[in-house]
Amino acid sequence: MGVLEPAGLVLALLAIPIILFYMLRLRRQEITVSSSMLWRQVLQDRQANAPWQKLRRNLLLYLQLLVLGMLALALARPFLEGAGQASGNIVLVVDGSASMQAQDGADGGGGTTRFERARNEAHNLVDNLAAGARVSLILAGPVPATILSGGQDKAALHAAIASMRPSNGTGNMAAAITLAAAAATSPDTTLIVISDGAIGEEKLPEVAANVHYIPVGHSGDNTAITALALRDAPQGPQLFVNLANLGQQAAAGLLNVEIDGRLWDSRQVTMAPGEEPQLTLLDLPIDTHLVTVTLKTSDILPLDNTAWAVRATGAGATTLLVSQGNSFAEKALNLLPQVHLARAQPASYKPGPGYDLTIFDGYLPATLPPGNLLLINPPNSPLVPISGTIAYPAIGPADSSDLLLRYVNLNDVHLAAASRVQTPAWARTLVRTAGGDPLLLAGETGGRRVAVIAFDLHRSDLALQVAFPILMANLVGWLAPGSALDLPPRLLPDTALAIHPVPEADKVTIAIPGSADIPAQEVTLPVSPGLSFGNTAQLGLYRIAQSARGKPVGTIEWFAVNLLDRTESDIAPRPAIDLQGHSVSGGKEATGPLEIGPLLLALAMLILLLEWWLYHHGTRGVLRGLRWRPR
Amino acid sequence: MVNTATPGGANATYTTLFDANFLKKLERLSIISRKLRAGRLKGERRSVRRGNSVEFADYRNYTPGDDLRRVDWNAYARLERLFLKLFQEEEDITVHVLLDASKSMDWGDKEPVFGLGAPAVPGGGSGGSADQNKLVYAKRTAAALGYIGLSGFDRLTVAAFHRGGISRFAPVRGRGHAVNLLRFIAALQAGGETDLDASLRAYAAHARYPGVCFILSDFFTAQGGTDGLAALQAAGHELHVLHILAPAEVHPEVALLGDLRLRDSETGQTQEVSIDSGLLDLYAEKFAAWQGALEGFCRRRGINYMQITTDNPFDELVLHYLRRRGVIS
Repeated sequence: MGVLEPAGLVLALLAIPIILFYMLRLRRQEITVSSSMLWRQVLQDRQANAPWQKLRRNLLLYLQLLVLGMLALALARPFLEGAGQASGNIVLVVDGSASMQAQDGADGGGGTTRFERARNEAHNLVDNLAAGARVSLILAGPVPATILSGGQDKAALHAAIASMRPSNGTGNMAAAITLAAAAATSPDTTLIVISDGAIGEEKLPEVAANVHYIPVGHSGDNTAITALALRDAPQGPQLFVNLANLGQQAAAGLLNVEIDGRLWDSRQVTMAPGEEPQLTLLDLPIDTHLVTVTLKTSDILPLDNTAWAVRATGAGATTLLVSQGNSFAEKALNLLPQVHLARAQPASYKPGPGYDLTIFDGYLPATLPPGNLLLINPPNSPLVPISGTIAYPAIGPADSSDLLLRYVNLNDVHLAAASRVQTPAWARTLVRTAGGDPLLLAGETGGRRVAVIAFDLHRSDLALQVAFPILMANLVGWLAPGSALDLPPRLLPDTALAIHPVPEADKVTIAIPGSADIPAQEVTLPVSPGLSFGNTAQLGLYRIAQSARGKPVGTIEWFAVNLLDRTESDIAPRPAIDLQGHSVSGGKEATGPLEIGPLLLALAMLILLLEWWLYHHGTRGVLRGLRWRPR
Repeated sequence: MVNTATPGGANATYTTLFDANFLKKLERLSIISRKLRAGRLKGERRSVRRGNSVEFADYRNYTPGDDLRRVDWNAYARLERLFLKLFQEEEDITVHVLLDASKSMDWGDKEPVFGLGAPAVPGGGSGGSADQNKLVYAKRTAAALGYIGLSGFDRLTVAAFHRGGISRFAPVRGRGHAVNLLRFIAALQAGGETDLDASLRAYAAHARYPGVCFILSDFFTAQGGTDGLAALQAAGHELHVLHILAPAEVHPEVALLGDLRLRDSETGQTQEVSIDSGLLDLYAEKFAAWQGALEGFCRRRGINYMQITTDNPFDELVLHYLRRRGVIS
């Protein structure tokens, strides 16, 4: 039990004047008795506590104090925790992470998933809502989403709950709680988290609300593939697999490795509780492209028993360097394995297709070729307006967090001169002079990527620094990715990725893998600038094909979406989670605070009526009636 | 000393105490004296004296001067010795009715519903009620006892103790004094504080003929009344204590609860008291101790103690209870 407005209890201080009035103005009825001899003897024993004696039999005083106490308590808005109906503003956060798909949601175990159990709990909660209760529903998947905000219609709430689906990825409970904090707009807010507690170690934000945690799930027995990596070694491709038995019992299973659809290796693995064995498979076929690793065990979370890996095909990017002669740039470009470099003189250059990346050094044609551009010390043009020259500019602050400047240290670079570039709208500045003029810009314009180095490499010592080949590798990797995809090192479910089709492509078709209950499907997207794809909820291998006017162009590419998250695989249910800076134990009943203020007011009213009746009928008669026993 | 107060309307006072039917019932009763006593006048009771009744008592040797008419000649014929035949003398006894008329006795409703001798009326016509005035109850009892005494040709003395001292109804004998007796008792007024002990001692000192003595009082006196009882007993009286109490004095929870100012009817002193169950329990303890002390004193002294609450029907008390206790027959 608690109170929402403790200040209301101050009203209880009125009890002091009430008691004083009673002590001062106690009216005694005078009764003549035959003899007070015996009463005097009796009272001699009672003289010690005479002042309190006055109060002892004063029923009206007690009733008035009771009424006052109830009014004060009602003003303080008391509530009972878990005392029945949920009321007020309820923020319901349902864990939608991969671990919620463990099939131990039912009390007897088996069959029902944790997420289905969570949905049932949510349905129960909605069924037991008090009148006027508002419910906000938040699904804590990889990207938390508010499914419904402040809903009062039970039918709509039930429909919203039924529409929730668990994700295959890592839940972001911290972000979900942040969303919940935004929904906790009133002091009577109750935050209810339905989860298995596998939410990682991250500290959750605080919410101005009463918090409840309803745990789901019973078993922690699970084996998982927690890491999978495919890499090229001098001897050929290698596969690295990390397994884990996160349960309390020894587990055994069959580890199958399929390469390009053919079973390549199968081996029995036995894992003690808590053991996390690491396997490295050498001597994979030299043309290994797609790898599927499956751990066949009978655990309750099959989701993390399969992982996929895609080996880069190594298709290069055709690059044209248009320059009067720039050996620094040539040397740096030739070092990059994916670059097939061609050279041209500005005088003989004719813009035309055929190159993924064109590098113009101190020159820019009137007509730009298709594909991406790297401009080194460009002349003034509408693409990059230049208003003059800066002599001996000092290198200013650089945005080291940008991918293009990764591992690039420009502190020791000196410049003799640089162009004064007016930063175009499409570009972002990566490096500035100390005066604020841009030295390195990058951006996308007209469906292409463009990077600008605003100084002559020959008039700086950049080309002599270690930073130069790294910078060139970063720039070419961005400008000529060699792939239509911008892939992070590990692609998690529900993560969007950017697609860069070949210039002539007008459509991109993506084949989405299926799962046990969702069929595989194909999505066709028209090519547009900044094309991205976010429907990566399914785990598995995704295939991307490009086409132009119905004909396939470019290469077919693959990417894999994996769970590979030890936190999600560690499905042992937690009886308590850390919320509000302290541990919140799980409660079985999905209930909110029950405000008992109105009940108290009604009781106070009844007592007031009783007090009025007693005042008019006299307490003596009533008490006598209660005590009178004929002898 | 004869009470000189002559109340007006003798018939009215007469009927406030009894009706004729009840008096007829009383005439059939007589007061029992547990021991033989020497009386003063011829009466209807056996006396310790030898006299002229028909009832043989004893023989004794003839001494010169004895009445020759009493010699048992049959015995002389057999034994050749002169014996005198003695017979029981029948004399009266003296009945003392002592009434405590202190203010504490005058408590309770003045004019209770009363239906002596009349058929019992449902709802309280049988002569007793919970808030019956104690003095009225005591006066009726005194009158009934006095009338029984007069009917039995006993000498009757009635005395009332109040603030002014002792009011006496002079020793009288015979039913002819019944109207005067009832007038006297009806006219008695309660007054002030009495020192029961002193009053009883004074009475014991002045009463010339000890006899059967009824003391009707609530014994609400600081001294306890035991000294007075002892003095009466020492003077040779056979004592019957009728301890008359109101039901509310025995069980105050009937009338008293809550915050009260209790006014003592005798002294006028007030006592503020907040009565709750704890206090009532304490009162019950004190009451039991006080009443038990008096009863124990009487038992040790061979005094007949009777506690009577005024809710007992009056005719029940006189016609049955006192008979069962061996006070009247």
